[in-house]
Amino acid sequence: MENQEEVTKTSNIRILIRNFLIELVLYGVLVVGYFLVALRLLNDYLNDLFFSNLVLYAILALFLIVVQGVLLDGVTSFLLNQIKLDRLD
Amino acid sequence: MEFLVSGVVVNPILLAGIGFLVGIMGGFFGVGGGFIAGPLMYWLGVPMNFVVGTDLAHMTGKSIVAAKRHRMLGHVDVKLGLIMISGTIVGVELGARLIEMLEDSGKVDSVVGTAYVVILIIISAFTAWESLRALRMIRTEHLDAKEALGFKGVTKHAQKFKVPPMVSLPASGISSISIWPIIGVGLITGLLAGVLGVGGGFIRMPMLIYVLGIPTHVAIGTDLFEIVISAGYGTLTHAIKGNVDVMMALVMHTGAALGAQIGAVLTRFFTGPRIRLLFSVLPLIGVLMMVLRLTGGGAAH
Repeated sequence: MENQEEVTKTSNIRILIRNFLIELVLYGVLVVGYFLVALRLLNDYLNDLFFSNLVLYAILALFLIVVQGVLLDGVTSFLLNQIKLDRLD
Repeated sequence: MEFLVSGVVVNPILLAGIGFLVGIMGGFFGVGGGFIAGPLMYWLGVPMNFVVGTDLAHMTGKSIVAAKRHRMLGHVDVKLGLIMISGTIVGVELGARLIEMLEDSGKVDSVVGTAYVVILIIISAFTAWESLRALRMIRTEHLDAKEALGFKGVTKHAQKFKVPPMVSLPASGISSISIWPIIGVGLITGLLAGVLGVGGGFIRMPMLIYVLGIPTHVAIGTDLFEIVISAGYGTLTHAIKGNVDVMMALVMHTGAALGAQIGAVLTRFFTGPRIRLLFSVLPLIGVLMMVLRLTGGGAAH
């Protein structure tokens, strides 16, 4: 009985590691694309705003970080669900 | 990559790497990780005012991901978090005023530095002692890991304190508790956070467990929920003062988002006492960072 539990636990950990590796690759692709496109485009605009309107910059800063938080979580969860990985969580 | 707002050139992969590291710690222990991310950013050459503000901004985004993940796992007590935040805000304001008083007396660095080191060593030693005791209780008394707590003295007093208004916290398994100990925990952690200049997760998490009797996993998730609100507020105020490089925060957050997910899921494979035992090492890293700062070592400038 204990042996069976050990086997299930090991198998679960393997699935979890596999899922994380896939998630890591997906994140890697997303992050590189993000660096190349979105962040480079935003850099100049945010810099101008920082020196012209600090209050608007502050509101936009909080908005961007919250939106990115929700988006990064949502996009990867969506991708993982689409490829129907046998996730444990 | 050049970050125009702060005027520094930093490799974005390194920033994402720092984010990843503190993301794992945040998801696993329910701490913001500012006491580690801050010195690392400073070592990369980021000016100190931008270290504080930018770290808070990235912490907000990271904690959203980790808190959302913990909420899905049933580890966030929203009611507890909302009650506690009122005490936290008052505590942070009191802490900021205390710092102003210390600055006037010219002793701020030595007093805050010493307090920081002493408090962190006490937290570390106490958490290690308690978790080892709880692990022994699981073995010898065959207790369920969820119930095993090596120190319940303060929890009993807090739950016996029946001054109204009373609330129930079903998500934490508490049928009735006065709101005053909850606000008190927020006040003390806010005060310490305000004085020490940190988010306060590594103080709040043990206090939730040992003072209010919140289960470890719920304490982690609720702490993260609290960090979302307090770090979000901090981001706004620091950004208005010109201390936030949001580009840098966004880059750090790309790594932190992944780390936070990994950390949150990893909690499922550890029992409460084991998480607390691992947690006891964290404050010692903070002590090391502070000692380096006080002795003038390790800075990039």
